[in-house]
Amino acid sequence: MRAIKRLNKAISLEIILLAGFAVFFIRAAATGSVSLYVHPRVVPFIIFAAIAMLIIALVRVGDLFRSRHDGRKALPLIFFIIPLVMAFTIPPQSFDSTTGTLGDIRLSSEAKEVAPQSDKPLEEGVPPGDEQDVETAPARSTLVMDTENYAQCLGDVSADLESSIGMPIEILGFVYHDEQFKADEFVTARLMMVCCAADMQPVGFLCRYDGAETLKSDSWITVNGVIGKTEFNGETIPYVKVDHIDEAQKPDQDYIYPY
Amino acid sequence: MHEKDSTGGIISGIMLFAAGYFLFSLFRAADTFDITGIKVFNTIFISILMQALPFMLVGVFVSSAMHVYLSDEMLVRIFPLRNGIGFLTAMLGGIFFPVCECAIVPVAVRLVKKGVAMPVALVFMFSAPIINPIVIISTLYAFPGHPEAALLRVGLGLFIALVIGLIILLLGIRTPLLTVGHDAACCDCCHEESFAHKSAGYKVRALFSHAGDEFFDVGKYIIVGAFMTGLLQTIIPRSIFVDLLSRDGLSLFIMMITAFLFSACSTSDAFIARSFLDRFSMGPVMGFMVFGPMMDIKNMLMLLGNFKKTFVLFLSVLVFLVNFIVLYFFEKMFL
Repeated sequence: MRAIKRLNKAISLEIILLAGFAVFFIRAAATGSVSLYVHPRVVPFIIFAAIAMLIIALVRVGDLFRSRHDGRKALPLIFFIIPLVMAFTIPPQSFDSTTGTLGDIRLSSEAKEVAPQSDKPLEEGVPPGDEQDVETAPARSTLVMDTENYAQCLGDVSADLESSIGMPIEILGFVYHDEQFKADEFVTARLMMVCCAADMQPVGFLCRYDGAETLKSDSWITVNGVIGKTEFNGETIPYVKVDHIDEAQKPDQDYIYPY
Repeated sequence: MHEKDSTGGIISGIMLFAAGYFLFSLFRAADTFDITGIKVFNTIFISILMQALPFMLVGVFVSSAMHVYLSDEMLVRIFPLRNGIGFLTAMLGGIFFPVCECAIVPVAVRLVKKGVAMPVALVFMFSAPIINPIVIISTLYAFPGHPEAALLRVGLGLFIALVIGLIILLLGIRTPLLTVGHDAACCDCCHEESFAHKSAGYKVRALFSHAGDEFFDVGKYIIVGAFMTGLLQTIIPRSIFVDLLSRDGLSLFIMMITAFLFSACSTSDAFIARSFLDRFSMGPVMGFMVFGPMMDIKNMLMLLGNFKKTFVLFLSVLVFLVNFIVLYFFEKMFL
């Protein structure tokens, strides 16, 4: 009788924890809040983990009534209680430019972190065969950068900057100011999640606009302009010569997810 | 005595409940203040766990399956008792026996006890947690678009493991096993029972039951690791890391110490390593991912249960030095 009672304590807590994590994972995947934590490519793994934990919990229910003697202790389970309580009680934070953990702003798509890489091949975005100069080809189609193709466009334009010069562009993003910018400079930025919330980084094209200072940080805007090239900290990067700016609605999807 | 036990149980149960409730109310109350910092920390902490736990679970299932379906005798038979070809088997064995670092020490100890040469067993112990397919896949996921990160991790890991094995071989160190028959390497979960004559249903049950035990055994390390990483990211200004980077070799040293202290499971530590990438360059991050699976607090404790203290100490220092030297010069030359 007593042996069963002793087992109950640790194992029942384990069952609660396993089920708790499973419920949290499934709930996050179902409500879509998972996208504030991790890249969508992780979602299948999260669902697998939830199912696996439920099965383990189920098998453990059988153990509850076994009077097997083991040295199971409940105290180390505190490690699991803390994240579970936090996960359920604190809602995920939607990051913006004031969040202190963000990486440095990235103004072109060149991968600076990992070993030098060959340039990505130029894909969509720039009409092929259109290599004329800015002034002579005013009728080029506008590149519209929104949530779906943001990272793609960033990569394409940076990879083949020369042939992108003069291309009209429309960007949806939020206003990002940085100490190292000049008075007329800001970035129409998006936050990029490469893996999870721990490696969020603002990305976007540098924009030049006379009223840049008057733009409120983190307000959502649509920028219309023309792509040019400029120097920044010794690097050649694309920039957008802003024609006009419109207020915009915050998009449903907070972040962009490359790859 | 039984009375005492159950009273202690009730008290610790109440304390656990109180602690949990205190945390709960703390977080609930915090909602009314401006607690963006805590929310950011929470988001980062949970996000690392969300990525790490699935890979850890896969690792736990594989390790449990080996425990239930593969007898020690079969494993030992794979390893030639001599050194030469044994090294090669040891380096690549991890592909076919995907043991993660959390379960590798007992396996290596069993190998030594069954007569496999000490240097070979050590090479297996150091390379298996890195060449493990689950570890490779999770590293690929942690560094999307940069498969060279996983490649480097495996290449450097195997090379360093071999160097350590050769040094042990040249020094001619004989098996410094503790003479005590007590098998301390085995946590209370992996009881040495034989599953050979059990029914299929029993085996499947045992698989899930053992997986659960290991999940709770190993999971606390990844939770502590994720917690500390989140805390570091939220409270330490990035500028400090920039200063650190300017000092030669220091950042590599720091990342290796961090890996040692975190003791995160190698199936999922790539996600922790990745989050340091905006503060440290690739060299130190490699230090975290290559040294971490080879030596950390929990593995050192397990080794101490089986080998003489002086040997474990010597081995830890040796592993650290070889890692540091190889990674330092590799970063200087190629990264």
